[in-house]
Amino acid sequence: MQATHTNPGMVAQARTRQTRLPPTLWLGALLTGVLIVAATLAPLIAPYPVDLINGAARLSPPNAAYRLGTDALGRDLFSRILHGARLALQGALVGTATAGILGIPLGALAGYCGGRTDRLLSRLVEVWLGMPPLLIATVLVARAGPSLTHAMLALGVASAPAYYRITRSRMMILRRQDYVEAAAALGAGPVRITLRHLLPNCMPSLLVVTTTRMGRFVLMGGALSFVGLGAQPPQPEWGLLLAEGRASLATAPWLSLYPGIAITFGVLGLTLLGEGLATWLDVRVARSTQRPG
Amino acid sequence: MRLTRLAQRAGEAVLSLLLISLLIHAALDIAPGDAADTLAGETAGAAQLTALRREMGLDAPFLTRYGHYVGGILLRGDWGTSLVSRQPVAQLLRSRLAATATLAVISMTIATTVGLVVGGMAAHHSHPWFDALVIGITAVALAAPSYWIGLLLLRLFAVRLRWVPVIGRNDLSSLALPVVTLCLPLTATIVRLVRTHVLVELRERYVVTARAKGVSQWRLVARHVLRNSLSPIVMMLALHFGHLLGGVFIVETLFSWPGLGRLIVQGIFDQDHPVVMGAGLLIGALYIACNLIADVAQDRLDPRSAQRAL
Repeated sequence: MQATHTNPGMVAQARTRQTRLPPTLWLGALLTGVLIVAATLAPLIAPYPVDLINGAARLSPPNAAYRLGTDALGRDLFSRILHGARLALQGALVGTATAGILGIPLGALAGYCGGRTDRLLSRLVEVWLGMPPLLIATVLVARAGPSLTHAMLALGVASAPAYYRITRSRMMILRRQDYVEAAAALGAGPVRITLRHLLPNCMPSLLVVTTTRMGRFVLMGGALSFVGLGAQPPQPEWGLLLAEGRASLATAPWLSLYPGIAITFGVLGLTLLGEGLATWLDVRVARSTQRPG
Repeated sequence: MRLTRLAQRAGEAVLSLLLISLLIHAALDIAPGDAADTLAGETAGAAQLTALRREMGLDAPFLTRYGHYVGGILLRGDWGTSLVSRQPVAQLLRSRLAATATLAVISMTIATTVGLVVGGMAAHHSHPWFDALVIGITAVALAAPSYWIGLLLLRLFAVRLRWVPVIGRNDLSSLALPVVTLCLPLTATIVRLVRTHVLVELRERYVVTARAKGVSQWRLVARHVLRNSLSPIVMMLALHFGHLLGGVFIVETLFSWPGLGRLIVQGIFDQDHPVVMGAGLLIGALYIACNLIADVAQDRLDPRSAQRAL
């Protein structure tokens, strides 16, 4: 990579590519922006309180008062979906934070030390990756009891290898750079080099992985909630809303329609943002993170 | 060289299996409601519970119980007995595995066929709008949750048109909706996978040579390029098959399909630990086997990758 920068033409080309934002980035940022606004402003912009029960308007189809209709208890679906955006984002943050806290230090250790440490840790991660993530999450939730936080923590634990691998591979490349040698010559210790010089340079890759993962977590968190192992009533979690809508599939189809659109919207936004960032920051996402799950 | 590598992979797989069995055992073994609780019911006194625990071997140390459990499976094929239905778990697993395998194999076959054709066509570039369309549709198909797609299909075909039953496994028609639901994201993944690998391969020099010789674009993709990008594709297919098995419980729950995944979810709610352990272990083992197959397939189809890894 360094060698190509001696060619002025290549540098100019690289610049133009970086200044023009890819369309996926625009679209992803727009959708994610809407998701974040909905999540932060939910109590302000929702027409009704999230748990307000109106016995007179049970299962009423979308109308002027309830734009997306009401559920079996007469709660406004639109307000619940808006509040659900909060749970989706919070859950995804819990999941990525867990995966990052476990994966990044271990990856940094393996990448920095190399040699025997790296071989041992990588073999362990290989074994960890060999287990199905959703099964790990299910078993951990079975142990801890079903709740949204437990589900997201478990998914985070299962996804830690993605963070490990990306941090490790970045560190392996970075630690051979001249500026690292310079910092070491000036007397910086391994911890300082890692925290001040190496990890900040891993940030673009970590940002891409985090964004993409958050999309996966919205999807998988909803799945666990849908089967009853995640969020519990009366939480307005999107997967749970769909599970509740299933009971009145024949009479109230809007309950099975709109929460799904919300999930698709959120996942699509985060995924596109991740893909756009990868193109823009010119990050090659390692094969390991493209693995299913 | 290749043999040692195979041995190493197999060793890792065995370690994965060991780890997952320990994890499942540890998670369920000390879960708040133990098997004796479930069996004795709410009214049982403390003395009765202690006696029952001893009888069931629940008071032995963890590793002893683990060894007993694994030994039972390996030596006698004894996976324990369901606490709820009182059936041997081995028998339950056998019938449930058949149901899950039917679903998974049919879905995988359809998704692979469609994926290869559509992915090859998208990479083939003669129609840029087709490529853009494929990218757009697969992006949405990958973002849409399967449990939502399944609900929409149920609404349309079971409630509205009454073509298929809402629940239950009666005949071929009840297979249709779960298969379509599983197929959608899987096909989207395979389409993108094939497209990416074919595009990479199209930049190779032999492609220029073949074009210069006058080989048609379609023949080039179908005969030369696809064959050369087969190794990463086969590897990813095996990985995805494992993933399909690991995540199949969502679709099975939605459609009340009597497979392994639904067995696990139900077992968790019933605190039927022998069933959850058995089904979890079986799914884990299948997943690990798929991973191993993926690795071996890649080495066989593309000796370069084995060289690189060493």
